[in-house]
Amino acid sequence: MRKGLMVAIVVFLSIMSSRLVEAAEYLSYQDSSFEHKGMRYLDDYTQEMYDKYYEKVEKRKFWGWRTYTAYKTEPVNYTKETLYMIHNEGTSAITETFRFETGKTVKKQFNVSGSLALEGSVPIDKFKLGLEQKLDHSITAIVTDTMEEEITIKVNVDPGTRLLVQIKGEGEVSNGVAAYYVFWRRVRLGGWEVFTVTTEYYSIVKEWIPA
Amino acid sequence: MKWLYFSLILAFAGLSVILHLREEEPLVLITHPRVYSFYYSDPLERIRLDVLSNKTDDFRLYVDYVEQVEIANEETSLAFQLDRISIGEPFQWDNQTMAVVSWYLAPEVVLSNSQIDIKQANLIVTYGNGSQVTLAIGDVHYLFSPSGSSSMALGGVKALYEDIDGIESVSAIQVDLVNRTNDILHVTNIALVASAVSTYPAMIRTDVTCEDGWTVADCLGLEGYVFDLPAVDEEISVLLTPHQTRTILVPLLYERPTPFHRFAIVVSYRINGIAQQMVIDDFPYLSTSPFQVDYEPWYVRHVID
Repeated sequence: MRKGLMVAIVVFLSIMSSRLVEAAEYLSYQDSSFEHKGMRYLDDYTQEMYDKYYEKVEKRKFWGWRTYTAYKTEPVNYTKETLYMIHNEGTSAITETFRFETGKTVKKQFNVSGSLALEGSVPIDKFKLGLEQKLDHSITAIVTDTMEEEITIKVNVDPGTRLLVQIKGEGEVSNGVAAYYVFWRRVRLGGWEVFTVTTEYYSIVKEWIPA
Repeated sequence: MKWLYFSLILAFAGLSVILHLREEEPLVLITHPRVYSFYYSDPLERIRLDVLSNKTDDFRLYVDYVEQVEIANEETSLAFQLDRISIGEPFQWDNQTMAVVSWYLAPEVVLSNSQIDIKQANLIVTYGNGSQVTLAIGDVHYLFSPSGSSSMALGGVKALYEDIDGIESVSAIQVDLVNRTNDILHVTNIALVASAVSTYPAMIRTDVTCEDGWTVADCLGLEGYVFDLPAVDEEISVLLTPHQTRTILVPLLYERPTPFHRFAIVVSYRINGIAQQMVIDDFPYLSTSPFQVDYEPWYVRHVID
């Protein structure tokens, strides 16, 4: 009976153990800069930072999460990949109607480190074990997973130029650490990060095609 | 010992009855009324209306149960076909689980050349069982018109952005207009397909360079710019010489603070004395999450029994 219980606990704990996490889309944006100096992404945390923050969640509890928020809803500006639409390498102007969708844009993204984990299919992840519900409302309040902007527009493209759609944006980044306890035993420990898109700006820009 | 088992069974039975008798929570749909500006340019395009819902499994959120959809106020009604309803991932909002429900609609009828303006419109959904859901969505403007002659073309478009009464807003647009003819084009008006938001003809400027992050006042070289002046309907005069491209800065006026992020524009011009127009399709100059903490004061909560 006792052996069976031990095996069950071991199996339970192994299920709760870490898994490889894929990088969130926002980490691959062309460039991003925080409005305030000193802010860091979770991926840039130093070991000293982890050690300092882990102290805040090390007090044991019977069951559930202890969380610590290091940076809360810090504004960040970014430029996403530019969508090239129409090239005119001919000798006369052309008029084109183009249509595109931006359905893959993710409004809220997550990243984790250590033994914290995400669930769901990338890029629409969420934290495992209900960590999101334990975070402050303002961190997770911005909603919707995807924006499906369907755009159809008729434009003139001069010879030797290209028209492209640029997307720039603003978002908020919150991150910190968390620990999950089961029967006073810490079974998960690591960093968490929430990136939320607050606004995206679209423009159609004409550029000369480089020779 | 028997009495203990008996009490436990009794307690479970009582709890089950209470749970069954507990009144089911009503469906709560939250809207954020705004100004919608659409141009019908493609039979495949759909308009999207977002609603926040406390349920994801209610029959009123499923296409199969919907009989009829219209956007209407007391004077005007426009019928739509419901293409699909998409339900987002549930999330925590104000201590309850909510989800964004997006309604994708296509006009039931396509008019030949007219603009439908439905102020203070409701989305009215009628179901197969005769029940109806009415949601306040704001002002809806829908332009049905040919896109215009080929004399003028759009070379590019971008916007300026400012915080107007707490809402991140489009404060001006900058359009590149191209004269594709050997004649002179005379631009006489640049108007939005909307009424609560309009262009400010007296402040329209040509060939002004505005950097990213600049305000309207920065671009105009003014100390300040007031967004809530009354709309003025007056002609402008911008000439485009043969094959010339000109950049035109068009500042906007807001009758009231409202999200106005995607809209259509009509450029009126004359060529050889003949009036023509070019329609710039509704373009999402700005895209924000439809439901944000900052917008809460404008929400309209609909409790559906």
